[in-house]
Amino acid sequence: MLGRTIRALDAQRYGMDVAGQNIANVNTPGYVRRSAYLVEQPPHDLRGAGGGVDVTAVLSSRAPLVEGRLRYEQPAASRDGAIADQLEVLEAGLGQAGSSLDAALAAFYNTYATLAQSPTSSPARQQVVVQAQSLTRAFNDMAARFENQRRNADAGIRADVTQLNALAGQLANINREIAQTDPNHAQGLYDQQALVVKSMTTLVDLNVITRDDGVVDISIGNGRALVIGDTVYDVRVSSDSSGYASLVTDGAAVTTDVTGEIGGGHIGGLLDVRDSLLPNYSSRLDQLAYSVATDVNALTTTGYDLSGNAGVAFFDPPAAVPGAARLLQLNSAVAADNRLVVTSSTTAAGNNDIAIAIGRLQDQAMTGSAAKPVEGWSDLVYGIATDSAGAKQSRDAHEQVAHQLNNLWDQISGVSIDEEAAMLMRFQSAYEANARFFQAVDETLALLMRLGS
Amino acid sequence: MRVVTNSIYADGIRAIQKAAEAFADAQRQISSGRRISLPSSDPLGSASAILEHSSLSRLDAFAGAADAASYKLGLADSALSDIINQLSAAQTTTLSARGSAQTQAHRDAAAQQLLAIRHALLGDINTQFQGAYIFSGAEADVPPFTQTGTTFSAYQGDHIETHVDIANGTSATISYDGGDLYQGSDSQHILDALGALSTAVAAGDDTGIQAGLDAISRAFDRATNAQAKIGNDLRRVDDARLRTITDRTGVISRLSTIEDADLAEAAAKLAQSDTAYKAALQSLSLTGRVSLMDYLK
Repeated sequence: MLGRTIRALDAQRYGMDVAGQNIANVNTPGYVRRSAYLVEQPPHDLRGAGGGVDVTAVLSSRAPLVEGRLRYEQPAASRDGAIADQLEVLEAGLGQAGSSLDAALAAFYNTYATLAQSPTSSPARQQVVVQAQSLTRAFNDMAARFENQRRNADAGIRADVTQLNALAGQLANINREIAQTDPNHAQGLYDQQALVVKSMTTLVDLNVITRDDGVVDISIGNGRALVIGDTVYDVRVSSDSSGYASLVTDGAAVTTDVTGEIGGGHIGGLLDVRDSLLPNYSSRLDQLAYSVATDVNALTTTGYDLSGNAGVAFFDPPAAVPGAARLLQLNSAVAADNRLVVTSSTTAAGNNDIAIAIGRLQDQAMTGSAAKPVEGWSDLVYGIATDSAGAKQSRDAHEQVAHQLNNLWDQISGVSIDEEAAMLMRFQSAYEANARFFQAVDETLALLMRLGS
Repeated sequence: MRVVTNSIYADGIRAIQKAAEAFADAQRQISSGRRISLPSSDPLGSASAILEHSSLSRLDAFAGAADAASYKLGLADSALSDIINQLSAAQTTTLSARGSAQTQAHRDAAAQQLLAIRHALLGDINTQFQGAYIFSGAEADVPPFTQTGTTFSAYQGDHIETHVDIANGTSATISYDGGDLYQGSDSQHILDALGALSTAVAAGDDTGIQAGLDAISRAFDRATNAQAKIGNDLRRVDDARLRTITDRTGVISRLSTIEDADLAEAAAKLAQSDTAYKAALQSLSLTGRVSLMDYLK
């Protein structure tokens, strides 16, 4: 009886110990609540009431279904979050309506229209030159902002890949330890494993396969191995001709570019911004700059300057649409001599028909576009704003789902201090009862000893 | 449902963040007076605001052009009034010197008077605005007529009358064809005609005087027609100005709707979010104050 009672005392003390462990880790990320698994022990012989109790295992309240669902939601939330964050920065650089590129465009056309009032006026001509330089600077600056944003996204991708590889290394180490540890004593390793996998899902969408022994294998993209058991297949970064990062994995025999295969997670969002959204915005900005310059040049080259000489291109003619916004420049000869500003389709100095025509360009659809110049900018801002708002909405929706799933995970796996307090009281009471029983047995044995003496 | 400590804190922090975000947004709207902080807060509104600002800029340019055109038209109107007065004076002077009863001295004085009128007419036709001749057509840097000794040049400008846009689809003339005004389809311009008339008056040449009077009469008609046209242009400029002012008011009103914060609504939201913020803070601060741990002995 004494032996049984001692085991019972041990079991209750162990239960208190588990509760203490739970309380100690109430704030530990990824910690899954434990509980002692008590099993009645059978009697040793027919006359015995029973063998008491023993702790046969420590159970963790895991929620594999919720964790699997989180692995799906988390990359989507992170992807949209990355897009929203990047576009929000870009939006701030677009400037306020009426004081950004739209204002520079309007000021340029209106100044040219104003020159029509006094085509021979040197100050009015100089004003056209000044406004044109402001316009080219506005295009150059905006193109630079777009390019800088791409570089920022690229830097983010590189940092994320470094973090992904570090996490993959941690996971491989955890896998190795799990493979070498008794499953009954590997609960802490499983917690760490789940936490690392969860962190990885914020970076990229993963394919996760859990083996029977608890080791997990991770692949990305179209089944490209990242962690297989305790082996890591690092994602490497190689720079393309423009200096942007391409992501490659080294397989058994081939090296594969997986950049296009990654769609989710923070990396997927940054890749989308860098390779899809920003190039599209830049292309539209380039088209706008190209059309503006081409349409103005088409008029000035058919006219005459103030000296009666054949008109020159007002802007340096853009060679092609790509890069037009970044390279747009006022013709340096015009910048140096405002007499070269063309206002007339004849050699008459006071003729202003070209100046009027250039002023009216702001009311006409541009070459190669159905939009007027300011509409072109407005459409671009609208596109960026819509993409940004869409990403924010989608991020919020995914985050809401992820938050609910995290709450659900907490409900199943989290630690409740009240609950642990109750467990403490429960085991403490049981311990006290067993101790009392021990005392009773002890007193009974003492009585027997006295009878015999 | 198990309620665990971490969920309580996570939910509390989330509620605080949401309330703080709403509070900050309402505060920003009140302090800045602007409804839209980033284009994504209202993509359509942001795009519309760009177009409205562009319209406003265009309307301001039209207003400036209308003012400049109005000034030039006023200048041309004033010059034409003087031309008409000078031509009337030439008619009166010629008629007063006509007839056999007039003395030679009277005729000579009238002839001199006509030459003075011719000089004044030369000044009128060579009127400039900021260094540009307004009666030379598009040849703004060339005087319409010049005088070398007693000889007058032919019309040196061209026949292109220049315009500026003063509203969408509306333009006003800002330079005029001085050749058409002073010569029209005549064989000589009015300045040469007045020179011949002066000679005829001095000589008592009745045929020459009649020819001169006819030339003055035709020039008079051309000048009054031109002035009537300028009058029309001035009315159109005034109409365009009124239209621009009306359009501008509409654009500003639309811009205000798009961009300006509704301060009353923002203030209500500020108060509402302040309450929610304080409630969220209070709620979280109460969390965990009571625990079963307190009852453990």
